Amino acid sequence: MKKWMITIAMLILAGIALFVFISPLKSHKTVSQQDLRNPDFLDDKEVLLYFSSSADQDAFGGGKSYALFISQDGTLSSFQMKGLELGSAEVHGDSVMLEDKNKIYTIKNGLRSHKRTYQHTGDSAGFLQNTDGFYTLYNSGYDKKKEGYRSELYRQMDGEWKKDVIPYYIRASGFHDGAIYALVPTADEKGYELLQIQADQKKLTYHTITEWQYREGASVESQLAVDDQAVYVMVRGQKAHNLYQMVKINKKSGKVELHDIAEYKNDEQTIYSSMPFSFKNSFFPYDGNLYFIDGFGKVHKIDAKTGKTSIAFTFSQDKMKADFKEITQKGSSLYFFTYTYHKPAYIEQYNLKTGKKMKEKVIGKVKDVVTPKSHLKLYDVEVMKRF
Amino acid sequence: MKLKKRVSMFLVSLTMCGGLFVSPAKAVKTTNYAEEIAALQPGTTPEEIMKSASQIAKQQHVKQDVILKQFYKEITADKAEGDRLAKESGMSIMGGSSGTKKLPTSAKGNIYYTNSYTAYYNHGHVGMYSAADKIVESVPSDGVRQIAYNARDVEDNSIVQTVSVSSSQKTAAADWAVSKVGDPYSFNFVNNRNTGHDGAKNCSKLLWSAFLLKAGIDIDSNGGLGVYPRDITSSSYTTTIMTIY
Repeated sequence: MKKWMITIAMLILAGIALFVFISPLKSHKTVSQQDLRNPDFLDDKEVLLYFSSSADQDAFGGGKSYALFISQDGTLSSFQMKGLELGSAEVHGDSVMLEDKNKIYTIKNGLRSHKRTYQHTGDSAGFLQNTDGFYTLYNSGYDKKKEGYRSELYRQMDGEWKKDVIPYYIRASGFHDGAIYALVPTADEKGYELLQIQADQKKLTYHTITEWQYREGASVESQLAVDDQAVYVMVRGQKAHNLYQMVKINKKSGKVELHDIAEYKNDEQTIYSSMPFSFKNSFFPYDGNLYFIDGFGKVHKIDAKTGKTSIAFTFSQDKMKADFKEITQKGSSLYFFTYTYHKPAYIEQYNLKTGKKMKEKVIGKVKDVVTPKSHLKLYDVEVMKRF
Repeated sequence: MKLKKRVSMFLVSLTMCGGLFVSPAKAVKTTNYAEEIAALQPGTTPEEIMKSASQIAKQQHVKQDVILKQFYKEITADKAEGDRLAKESGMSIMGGSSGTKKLPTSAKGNIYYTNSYTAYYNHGHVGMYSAADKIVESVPSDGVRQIAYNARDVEDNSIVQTVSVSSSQKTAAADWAVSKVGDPYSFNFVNNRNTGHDGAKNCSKLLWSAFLLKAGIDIDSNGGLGVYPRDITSSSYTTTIMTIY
């Protein structure tokens, strides 16, 4: 009898231990700035998600954003900040950059926070190799006092944040080496000017690479992708309402080429569904090609020289039904994050060259933070070096 | 004579009692309206609401109470409609979301509506296309801003509408709205038809002013004291051309 009871007790204990230490759904813990100051905080982190409420839901400063760090063992650590629509999270090596409407946070061997001018709308962020620091760009709005548009740029230089104002509304942006590229409307609003903003010196210098006239009704469908030779952007409606084209602008000559990339059935619902689900990350260069991910989850591979296009692979249609979808690319890998309310989230790793799925990780506790009533939107996904 | 005196004394006492007990009761009721309105429209105080009611009352030669009741009637009707739409979308009254949706491209001067649960109820939110792929809108804290259409995440069942005026009038309305980028946000919905076209404005006021000034039409369907987002979507001038789901 006693032996039987001991066996049962041991089985229960083993079950508890299994749940605590092995369960893929793992636990969720909220972390404070104090936790982020721990130099070891990032050591076991694999994935970083950035969610925020949008500006229309930030009445009375009630907006929120969350950086969700997922560890190798599946534990989710949530760090709450103020809201910032279209805010970014960036990872470079062992460094992380986060932001909200009042602050920029950097985590590397501890936490540093920089209080900056209030911002309501993010745009893009990245890492400039030449200055060995992050940058982040905001759609700061029209300044009635100074009568000019303000896109504020913050760059990390020698460990400090430097602020500059780019006096344009920026429709799309991208970066490469020490330069930021920006597509800004021409004065008559009938075209775009492509600016190269040299950002690796203390003083920003600009030059216009070219101007490009677009047909009324045409839309810019991606951020800018940049390589050594050219700046690229996806547009729709220039030749036909249902046709996506790649605009390629030679950085030196300013020569503009258009390449047909993807054509869809010409009805409103199909065209709407074809829209990239990630404005920030759906178009990027890698190894002599450009990759464009459409709203159906098709990964289009485009030869940067010729514009010749093929479908490299397609994401699972089941995953494409998720409430939240986001992508990020790192080297030869493309990561696809999906989450549906009340269910576990997933991140899949695909090889861009072969199209094969390499890995899938279940993230169980996103549902603790991102609920239907939270009104949080997903604005960034980053994969850290241990993934 | 004695009886007459007694009757007059009784009437005076009654009037005094009325003065003592009825007036304060009435004052409390008036304040309650202002407080309840402020509770549904945070960002404004009961005092501000009383003040704007008083100003309109003077202009219209009516009592302040009448205006406060009108404010209250309009905002509670709007709340009831917001609650109904939330329920219809399978959400709780205090809001919920079916995930992230993007806006489609649309013609310059067209408008969009999304459910929005900012101010303690689903008051909705409207914005306007300033180009096929750009939106101009007024949002809390920030005021009037311009943003890429595909950078703007909205709720399920959002709609895109066209306004039945000429395309040049739509263009002029959109250009006027863009010229207001940088104007601050106003939380005052109950009385936004009576405030100036310049300066602070909320989302529905931005669109209402744009079409009133540049197309000569009043897109507020009920013509009340305040123009709310759903007053615009239910206007006879606006027609839904796409539902996002």
